[in-house]
Amino acid sequence: MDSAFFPMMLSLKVSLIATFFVIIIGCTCAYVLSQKSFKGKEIIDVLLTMPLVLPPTVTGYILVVLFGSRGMIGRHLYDLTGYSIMFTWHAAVLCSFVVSLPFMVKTGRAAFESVDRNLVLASHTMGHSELATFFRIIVPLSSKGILAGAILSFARAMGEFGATLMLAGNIPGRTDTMPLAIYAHAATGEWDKAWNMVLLFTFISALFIYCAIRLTGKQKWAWK
Amino acid sequence: MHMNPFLGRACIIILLNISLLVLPAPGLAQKSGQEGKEVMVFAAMSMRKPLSELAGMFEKDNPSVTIRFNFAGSGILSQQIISGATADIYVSSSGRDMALVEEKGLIEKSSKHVFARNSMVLVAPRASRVKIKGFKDLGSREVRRIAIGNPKTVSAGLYAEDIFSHYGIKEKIREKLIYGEHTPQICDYVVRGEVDAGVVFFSDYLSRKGNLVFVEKAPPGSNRPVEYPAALIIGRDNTAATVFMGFLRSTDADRVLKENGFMTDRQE
Repeated sequence: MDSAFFPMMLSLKVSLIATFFVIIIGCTCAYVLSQKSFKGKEIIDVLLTMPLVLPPTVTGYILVVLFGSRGMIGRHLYDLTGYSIMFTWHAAVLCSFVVSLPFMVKTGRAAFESVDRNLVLASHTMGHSELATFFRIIVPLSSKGILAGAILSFARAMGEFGATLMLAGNIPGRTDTMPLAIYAHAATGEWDKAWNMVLLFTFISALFIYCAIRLTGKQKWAWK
Repeated sequence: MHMNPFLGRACIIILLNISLLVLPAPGLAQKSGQEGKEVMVFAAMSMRKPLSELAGMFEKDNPSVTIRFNFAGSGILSQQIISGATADIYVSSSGRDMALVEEKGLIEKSSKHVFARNSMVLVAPRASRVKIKGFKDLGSREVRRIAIGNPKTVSAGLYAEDIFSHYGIKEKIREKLIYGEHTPQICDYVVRGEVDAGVVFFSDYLSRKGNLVFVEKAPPGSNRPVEYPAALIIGRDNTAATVFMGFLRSTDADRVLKENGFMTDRQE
């Protein structure tokens, strides 16, 4: 069980941090998509949903092209600071963030859209700013949906494999999250070690999905 | 609670996938008949170029035979064969992984032979800020990341560790190591400048010559001999496989291997 400890802690750390950013950025995107209408809105929606359907290798490839030390964005970061995200656990966070963002945006958007429009208008009429309306009216009324989205995002972040392998590599003791460690054990024929982690992982994932189902209750799911 | 639409959709997708798996694949079914013969070769990734070329030549001379490949790190292949994967020939890039398969009694002992050799080189990205003159410099502070094969599954990683031990820098550079799944990937890390240096086969360097900087060849004796043993998997009874094994030792094969940066034992 010893060899499972680091990957498990890393997976939890990576997923928690990724989910934190997913909630902030995902809810912002979901809010904008649900309340505003502007040109190119559908394109934004498509872009944010893409990681849900793209093979992880494609997402990984795009991220490498963008964030590699000679990538379009990574190059400037590297030249300025000498920092490169490649082969660090930060890369695992980035990958988990990108692939789990759609879950938050989709679920959040549906939750925000289900809030009675009249309540929002009433809040504006009574002099609340948009920000105050968001935190006092919209968020409380769609808290279940937000929480469900966050849990789904967390579960997806935990399971991220393909893009992480490409961006963070599989470095024992540094970037081997649980899915990567399981893959490495299976590849080297250490099935007994893999088995412990498979059991643990399945249990954790099932637990989170159960929470998400319980939380959403009768409320309709966000899949349109 | 009524069934939510997501679950319904997921069920349909799963059913569709299962139906794809169950439906017979027409191409495969025909091939196994008396007409065409298939040879399944599990080969080390570093052999990809020469073996693909050789298979093309072989298929031209033997039109009824199709050579199929599964390329991966030798260690991954040995595990696949031990787990019961259907292979006719195993081409490993190290004696170690061949020995693993041999220990399980899975190869035709008489068929095993080393048909190619290789050597290890240190490569660096072009236009790198870090100046590396040889393996000795890898311990310096400037060098932050070094890509080698995962020693557990990739022979090149095993050889790289031998070299590091030879120079007494194995522990010192442990933290800098980035493990690749095979040598082409390591080359790629180096070409893209994600790492400051990489240890690959000479043949790998040759195939990407224009994009890499050659730093140093590992001196003789710094690592165990880089050998490529090939062997027939036991109990397959595939004549085409036996013929292809023989072809690997032909003068034609010899020429192709040498063109791709490998060495053979044949004297000119």
